[in-house]
Amino acid sequence: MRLVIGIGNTLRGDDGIGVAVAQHIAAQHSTPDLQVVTCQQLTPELIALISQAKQVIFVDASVTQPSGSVQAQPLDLDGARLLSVHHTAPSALLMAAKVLYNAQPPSTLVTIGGQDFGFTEQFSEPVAQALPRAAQLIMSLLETQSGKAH
Amino acid sequence: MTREITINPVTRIEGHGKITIQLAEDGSVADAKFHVTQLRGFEKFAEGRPFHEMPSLMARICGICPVSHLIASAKACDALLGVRIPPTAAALRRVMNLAQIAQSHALSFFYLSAPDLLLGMDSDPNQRNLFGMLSANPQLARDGVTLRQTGQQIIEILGGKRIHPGWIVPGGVSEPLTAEKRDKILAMLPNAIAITQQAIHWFKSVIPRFSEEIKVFANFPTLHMGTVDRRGSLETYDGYLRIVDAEGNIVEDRMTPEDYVALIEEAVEPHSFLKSPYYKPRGYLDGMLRVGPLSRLLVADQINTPLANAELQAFRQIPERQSSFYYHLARLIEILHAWEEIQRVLNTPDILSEHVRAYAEPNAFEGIGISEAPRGTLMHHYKIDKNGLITYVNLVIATGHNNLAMNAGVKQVAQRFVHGDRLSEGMLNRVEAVIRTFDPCLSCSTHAIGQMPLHIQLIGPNGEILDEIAR
Repeated sequence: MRLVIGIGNTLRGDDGIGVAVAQHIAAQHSTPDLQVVTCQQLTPELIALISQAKQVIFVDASVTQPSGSVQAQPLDLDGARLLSVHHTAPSALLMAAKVLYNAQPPSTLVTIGGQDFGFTEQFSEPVAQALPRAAQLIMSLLETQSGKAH
Repeated sequence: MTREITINPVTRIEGHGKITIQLAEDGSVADAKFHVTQLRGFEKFAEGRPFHEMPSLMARICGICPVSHLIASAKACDALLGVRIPPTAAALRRVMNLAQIAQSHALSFFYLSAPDLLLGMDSDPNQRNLFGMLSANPQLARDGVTLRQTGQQIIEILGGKRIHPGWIVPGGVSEPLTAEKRDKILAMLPNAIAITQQAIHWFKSVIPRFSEEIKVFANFPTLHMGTVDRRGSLETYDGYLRIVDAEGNIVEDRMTPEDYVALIEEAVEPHSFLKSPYYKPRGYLDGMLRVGPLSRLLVADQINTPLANAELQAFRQIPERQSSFYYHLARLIEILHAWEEIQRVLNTPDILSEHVRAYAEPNAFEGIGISEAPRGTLMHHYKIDKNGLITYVNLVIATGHNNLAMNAGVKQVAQRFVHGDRLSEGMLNRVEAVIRTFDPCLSCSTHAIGQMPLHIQLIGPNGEILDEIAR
């Protein structure tokens, strides 16, 4: 199973882009091998799901990147220090999956730079334009990994 | 002249609070207070909204227990409609409420409190967290993940999503249950029951290590409130309000939601945004109440599911069961009950009935809904005008009911463990830990950015910092 986790608050403008990208992928690429999960924040119960995946892609908004830019970075376990119910990083969940289930799926964090995090369900123009690019990037990452597996 | 210790923010609770400890001249603890520093305003800004929006609006109060607010709100709206919802709808709401209680209790026990219970109150705070627990007892951590996930999955299967599901509506639920969904839920339960039994066994084995904490973790007489059915059995979705005293004598029984106005008065303290409800006939402080899993087990005569009832009868033999330390055990017993009761309800013949919603226009100008949230009795009280617009909202939430007892508990622990001439991590962690036994939900809708530090200052008579700990 390949897992895409979209993170964000859809009521806070560009913060919801991670969720929107994940939902876009779920709508466009429905295969039994692909599981898409959306959440407002990462929580420890995702550890079990991550442990069953052969690849994980987290997609989230970034407050530091230029708005509308899309970046992908491989995740490792360095810096996986904090695991809590209020603030959990992807690397912390990956570390927990390794410790608890001896699972270490290759994982990538895809981020989209946002600019408007106010109370709205609309994306800013650059972020709206980035949505299909981010989805395309994720699909290519999934296909690349799938190709490696074969 | 007094001195003051501040713990701000209190960590590993749902939300953000602050504790201040007032020291007397001789260094002993004169007083201690638990402050809730957030203002939410839901009661006020709901005014003017159409009443049928209330369940969805009220669910946004909390990301941990949205289902509890959905249910209490929907029940208040049922009362406005003047309808008796179809029995299958009530049964399905009951299942979702039980799943909510189980997943919330699992979060409290395994994620928030287990680091203290497993590693000890005096252990290194850098290890005394979820990561430390992963290393020290991975099986316990895996069990916590599984139980929380099971509750969340049941909510998601029923409601379409795990946070803020919109499936519970005024008049019932929006969709019936399918056989496929029922069977999917039923398949998860045997493993969940086995894991919960293991957790109870483990927790009982560590209880003797905490004899000092049991003595002073809000270990004093108070009233306890919860809902029971006609036979006095534990009830979480519907039923009657019952209040018992510290000796177990029934003070109030068979009270309906409409009776809450005569039973509960809400005091406002100058140091906190959290209201302090109390049992009105006994007055402020003497009417101090506790609610939640411990209180529910203390008010119930029995539990209608066999495994949980056996645990309840054993629990009733514990001499110091009034201590809030036993909230932890009560939480595990209620998780066990939740899985058993969900099994029972899903195996009833009419559970797949398609008649799951009653339709009506408003038939009353006032409605009250009460249900048991994970942390205790939750009350939603609405009034509407002739157009169905909200004119009045009063929410009495579980954490509020426990506010007076939490403050008294903090003081009891501080007097035992805090001494003015020195500060240590362990004693201050115990002050926090007694708060955690209540599992207060200050609503986690507001979040700090980044890591939440614990910062404690010992402040002298002239405002100078005498000692300081930060983590």
